Amino acid sequence: MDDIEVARKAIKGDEEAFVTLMQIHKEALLQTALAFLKNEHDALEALQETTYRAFKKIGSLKEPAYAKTWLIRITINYCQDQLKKDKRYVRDGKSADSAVLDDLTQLELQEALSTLTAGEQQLIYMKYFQDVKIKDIAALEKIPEGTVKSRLHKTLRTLRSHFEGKGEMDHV
Amino acid sequence: MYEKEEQKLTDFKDRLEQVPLPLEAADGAILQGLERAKREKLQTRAKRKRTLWSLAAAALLILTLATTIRVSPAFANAVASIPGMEKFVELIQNDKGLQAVFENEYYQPIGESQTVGNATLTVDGVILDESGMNIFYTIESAVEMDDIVIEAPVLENEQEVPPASISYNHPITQEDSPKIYSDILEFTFQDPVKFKDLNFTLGLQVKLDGNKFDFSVPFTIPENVKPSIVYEMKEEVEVKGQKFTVEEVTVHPLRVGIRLSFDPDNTKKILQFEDIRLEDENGEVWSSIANGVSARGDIEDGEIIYFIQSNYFENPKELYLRINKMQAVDVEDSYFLVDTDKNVLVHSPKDGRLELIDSSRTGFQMNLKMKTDQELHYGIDRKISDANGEPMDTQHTGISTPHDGVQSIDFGFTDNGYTNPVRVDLFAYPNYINGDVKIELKK
Repeated sequence: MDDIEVARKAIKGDEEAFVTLMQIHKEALLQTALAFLKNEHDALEALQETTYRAFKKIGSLKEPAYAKTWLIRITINYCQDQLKKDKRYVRDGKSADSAVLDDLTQLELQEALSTLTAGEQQLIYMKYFQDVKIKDIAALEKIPEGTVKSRLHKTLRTLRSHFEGKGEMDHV
Repeated sequence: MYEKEEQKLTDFKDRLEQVPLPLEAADGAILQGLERAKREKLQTRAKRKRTLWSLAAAALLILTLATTIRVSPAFANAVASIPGMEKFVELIQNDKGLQAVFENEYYQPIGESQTVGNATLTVDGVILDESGMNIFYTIESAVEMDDIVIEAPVLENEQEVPPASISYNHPITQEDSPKIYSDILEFTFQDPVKFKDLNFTLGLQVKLDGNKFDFSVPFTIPENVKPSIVYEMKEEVEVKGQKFTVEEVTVHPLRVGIRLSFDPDNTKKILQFEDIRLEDENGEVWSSIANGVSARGDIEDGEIIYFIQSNYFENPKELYLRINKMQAVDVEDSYFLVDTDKNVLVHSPKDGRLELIDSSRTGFQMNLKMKTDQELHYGIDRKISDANGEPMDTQHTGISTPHDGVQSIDFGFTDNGYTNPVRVDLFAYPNYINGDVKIELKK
């Protein structure tokens, strides 16, 4: 049974297939959660929450081929909500304890990412972290590919201006 | 063009991929999430009907929908003669009183609508009496509606509209995306009222696919209400040593209200009347409201009004009020206490059927052991307060349908610094007493 077949069964309400689906994608989902929440404990919480939301909403997933991207989106949404809600996380991405991604080289980028809108963050994450094709992002969001491309450009431009702004500041 | 930025992103990704993942713990997280979702699915099945209460001390019974559907030929004819009525049949067919309203042409067609953007709200018709107003409405959209949320219905009249409990269906549209949605808004007024002026405005906030629509539809009801019939009773009855008084019975076209008061010296607390009904000389029965507001008031205050289906349009020779099964517990068993810091059930009914599974400062889960084939169709909590009597900031409460001989109960609240133990006063509990009360209603 391939991934798409598993997803198709899960959509139809097959509980066993749903668990298999979650297991197939658990690495990608944990990685996603770690990228946003920076620690293992919260990432596992995110996976639990994603499972919970996905099981309740699996009927709304129309295309089995997009199951992975759909799940990642649920995870990102959850993580972004948590970050908004939870004051334990400060903007530089350090959490109170057991941070796994706090080496300095990444801080600048993480700070830059945190200035993006929730939608822009998702887009960047899908494209560069999960290598989702622009065509698939367009299909999932129900928008034309051109729109995805121009959004991507705008987002990268925002990132650049953030880095450049930083650079100048350093010289002052 | 943005190679530098893309490179940074790729570096970050590579770095991410080196982080070891807690894969073993992941399977546990998946199963926990699944369990939670399954439990909740059970709960939402048990609580399909969503009811808004504007009255603080209001009580609500959630009864499952009657499974048998009986439609009389007279009702079928009456409905067929009103254009657009088909879509409402399902919503009224399990209430004999409402069927009789149609057979006796007491339903008043309106047909006023308002269009906002690509959506239209139509007030199809109303049933008005002194006890309330049922508004039959339809929302039509040019595009398919994936998600419909009905918020804050408001009824306005030149005269003040008394506070009302409002009952309506929560659209279940995850499976299908309709372009037309029809339902009934049932306003049950706190006190009977007669409006002088029959011009009303229905304000309805609706969220369709996340977009807010603010509808406001003025309409005029052609004819005023038929008067309600009041039977003064003042008859005290006793069941298993517990005394209560049937104060009065009021027959409205939409519902029959039965006002009861309780003797403060009772050793048991009567929580719910499971079987309260009107019966005529031929044994024909009008029973509890199957779907909607079925009681008002709080037994704690010593008085409660139960609503049953109306026999307003019937003319029985004899009419009796009959009461059999009720839920009752000894007064000291009418609440339980949970210490959420120590994670212990401090006090609970002595039959030991309530069991604490887990608790934290933000909620607790319990199991209620059920006898075979028994099911509690009610939420269990009437009031949740802390050790100082302050009401808890409750986020959700729910009860599942039975599984493996238990019903799971879930309470959630915010940790606002409350003092333990948390006290829950029971609204319902599966402990029954049986009586056989039969009182004649005399004109």
